[in-house]
Amino acid sequence: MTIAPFLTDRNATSRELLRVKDAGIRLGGTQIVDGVSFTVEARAFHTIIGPNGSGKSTLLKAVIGEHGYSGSICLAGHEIRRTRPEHLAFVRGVLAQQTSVAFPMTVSEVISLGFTSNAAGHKQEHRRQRIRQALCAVDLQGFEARLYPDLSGGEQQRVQLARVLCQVWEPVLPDGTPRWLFLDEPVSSLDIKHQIQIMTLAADYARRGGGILAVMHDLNLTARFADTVLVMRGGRAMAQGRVADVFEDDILSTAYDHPIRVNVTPKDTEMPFVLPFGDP
Amino acid sequence: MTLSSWPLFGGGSRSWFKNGMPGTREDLARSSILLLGMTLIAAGVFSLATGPIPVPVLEVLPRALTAMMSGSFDQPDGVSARDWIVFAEIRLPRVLLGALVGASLAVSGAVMQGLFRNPLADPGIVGVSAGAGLGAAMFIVLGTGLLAPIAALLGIYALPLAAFFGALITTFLLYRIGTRGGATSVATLLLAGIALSALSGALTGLLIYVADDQQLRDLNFWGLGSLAGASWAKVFGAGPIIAVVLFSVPFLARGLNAMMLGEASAGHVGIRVQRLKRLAIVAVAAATGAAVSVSGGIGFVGIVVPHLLRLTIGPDHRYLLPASALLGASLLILADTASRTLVAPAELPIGILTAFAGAPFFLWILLRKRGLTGM
Repeated sequence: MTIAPFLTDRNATSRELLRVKDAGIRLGGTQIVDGVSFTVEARAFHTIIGPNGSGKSTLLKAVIGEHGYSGSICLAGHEIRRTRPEHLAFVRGVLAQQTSVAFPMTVSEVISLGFTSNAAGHKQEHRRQRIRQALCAVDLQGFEARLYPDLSGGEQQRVQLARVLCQVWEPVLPDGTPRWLFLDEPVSSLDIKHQIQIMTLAADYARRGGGILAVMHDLNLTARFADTVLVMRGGRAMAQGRVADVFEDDILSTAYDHPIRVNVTPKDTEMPFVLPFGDP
Repeated sequence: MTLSSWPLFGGGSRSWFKNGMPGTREDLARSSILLLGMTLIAAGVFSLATGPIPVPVLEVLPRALTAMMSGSFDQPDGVSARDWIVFAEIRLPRVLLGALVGASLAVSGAVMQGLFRNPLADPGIVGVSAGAGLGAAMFIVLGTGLLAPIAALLGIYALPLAAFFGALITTFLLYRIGTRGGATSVATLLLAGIALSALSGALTGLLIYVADDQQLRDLNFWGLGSLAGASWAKVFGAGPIIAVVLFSVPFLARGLNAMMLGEASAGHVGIRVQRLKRLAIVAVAAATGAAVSVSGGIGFVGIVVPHLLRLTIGPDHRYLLPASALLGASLLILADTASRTLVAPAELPIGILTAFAGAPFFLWILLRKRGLTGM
């Protein structure tokens, strides 16, 4: 049920693209992801949605190089499985669903790990400023000296996002190659204010030329911020395209196997508003 | 390789005492390393001066150093023959060996804790030292018969190498058993350590059963953990191996720092995780093997030293590793000085002293909530 081509700009060059072609992932004898293909370009906010166990997180794990895969996954023209971590780290940052830290580090020390891939290139003064900016971006001003284990789950998640931001601060490299942020349910542990704030931050990164690919659970936040959406169901891509095209009653109801109604709010510009219904 | 490429001196901040980043403990860490370096020198001089026969170290040491500068290792003028023998043949190799062993135990502990992401991982506790002991015991018992040609070929390095392979096999097995899907289960790790220790112990026992009298005396030494057998041969046998490890582990520091986020995230920030793990395992096995081959099993230094340092200067391995080496060396020199003076003219095995201090400390870490992070 492909609605519209995922790719919006026909003139985009391969270094601006994430191309997934016939990707398959097996885990413990089960085919988790089967024959998924899509091509997305930087300068946009892309999302993957789908019910639990549909393979969306596993697909993301293959894209970030954490899982082996069959088929082909190319980021900026590089096949992921053949690209060294230090090269990948240069063009893309990854925010996991949750990140535990082994020893009690300060927030500043955690964020400094974002400089791992280009440690020699940063002067201390420069890093200090970058950390402050990153903390501002995630609304944690002045948290530098706090101990990471003492923070709440949502604050920890925002510190990790600040670390990822420090890794790929400029959305576009000097040679014009866009950088990417891969986010696995980035806002599921956040309160509503910070959900909006982080989604805005991601959308802004895309507006400035970077690429975003996020696995999302909240359909309304997806509708509000995303440009495109890929719907996963049973390990396959069920639908893909622009949010306005994919967010239809029957597509979402089929995907989640539950009656869902999509309204377009009249005041807002064409933004779909998703309501689950049916007997409780 | 220049000095500035060594992570402690390079890595983005050139000047040592510039104001650090708020929330990082880099300045504290740098000054701590200077302080610990001075502590090590003081501990060494104190230990050289302490013992049943008083030696005027402050007179002997400068003369010995001056003589050494001009390439002479003989008795310098103005130093009595008795003082020189006590200083150069008994105390100096013992202090140097204590420093080498202490540094390697503490650094092995720090690297292993970074690798397993847990403050309780230590070569002594998870059975790596026992594996090294088994390797050494095999060499002592079989080295005169079966392995004699190899032993002759390797000379003074044969025993440290045998211990190294024992430690390497144990560490590798531990990692394979304790790690599944990128996550290390500490419960599995500790239990596997108990099993591997028991197995190494049983095999060592079997070797004791077939050993002759001379071999038995050599073997007996492993159980206790002591620097009493210190000699220049041991310093030159284990020293180069330990020195190579000590000067190369700082290159693992960046990777071990990233590992604090977990294996997956370490890969995402640009670390080749498999290579890091292999190098760390070899470094731990080499340092533990070399230390065990000259001093037997001395426990808890690898837990106490890195943990105390993490509490003060933080877990950044660029500073933690050198600081652990310096503090481990100082502590072991002082513990050894105590072990040979407390009940003089007899000697307490140093392993008893470190266990007395270290075992309660281990329990204290266990009981503190933050020490359990990652369990």
